[in-house]
Amino acid sequence: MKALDCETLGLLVHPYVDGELVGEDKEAVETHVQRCARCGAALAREQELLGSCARRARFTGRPRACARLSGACWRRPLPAPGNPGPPS
Amino acid sequence: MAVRVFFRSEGTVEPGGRGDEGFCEAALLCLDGLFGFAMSLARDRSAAEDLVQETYLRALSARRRADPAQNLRGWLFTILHNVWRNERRRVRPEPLGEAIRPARSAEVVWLQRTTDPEKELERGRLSESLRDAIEGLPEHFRAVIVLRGIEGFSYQEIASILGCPTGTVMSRLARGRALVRQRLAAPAARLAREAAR
Repeated sequence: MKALDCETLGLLVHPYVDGELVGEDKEAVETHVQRCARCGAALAREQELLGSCARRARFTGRPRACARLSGACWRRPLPAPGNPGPPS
Repeated sequence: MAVRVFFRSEGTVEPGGRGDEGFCEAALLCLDGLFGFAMSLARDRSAAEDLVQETYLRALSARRRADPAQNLRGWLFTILHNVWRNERRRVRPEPLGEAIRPARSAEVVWLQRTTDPEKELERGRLSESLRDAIEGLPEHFRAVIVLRGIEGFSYQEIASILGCPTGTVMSRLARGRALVRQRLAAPAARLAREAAR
């Protein structure tokens, strides 16, 4: 497994917390943060920020215009509020 | 997921046929996410509603030209962004690196409540700070943060929606999050000072 220095890890923090890293790169990040408290703290901060965005920063207002559009053009009510989530 | 299954199972959509039913249902499931993205771009409820409406109208008329390789949700977000980009070109471009005023609509509701009043107050303040921090970002940072952090798209999907390289998505995310963190630091320090009094 390749070893990472702190500078390289800094470039991989966001792809890691976003789930974009796989295999050897992912393992290298995890190995590095286990022995480097500073990088571990940086990673934890990014994970916290990402979690906060997902939990607290979502708009939930229901657009009136879309309700009209749905009724007039498609002749169907809007589905219950919600989000289909990220594409699989 | 259901949206992806639609294209695989329905194939070509016939107007007024069963395919339209599936298209409408799948497309409407994306409504809240599209409206949130539109709000993050336009920062104005009326403009966001227009954006979403135009997106659905275009999607409806172009549904048979949709690329089955791209999922419906990503396709709708791409249309919305293109509509927004064309509208911006027609009106006035947002200067790069501008410091933007928050333009929150009073009608827009944000999530997250707790039962503990103290915690709710604290979370409310932090949520407000987070909203302000994101809303205050320049558009190109705001878009990637919303698409990744809130809508959960992958880097590749964001690149496809915004029409830019994946590397640009990565650099904008890193820079945008750093700016959010900077903007959050000031209110957090103020809250800490208030708590210490």
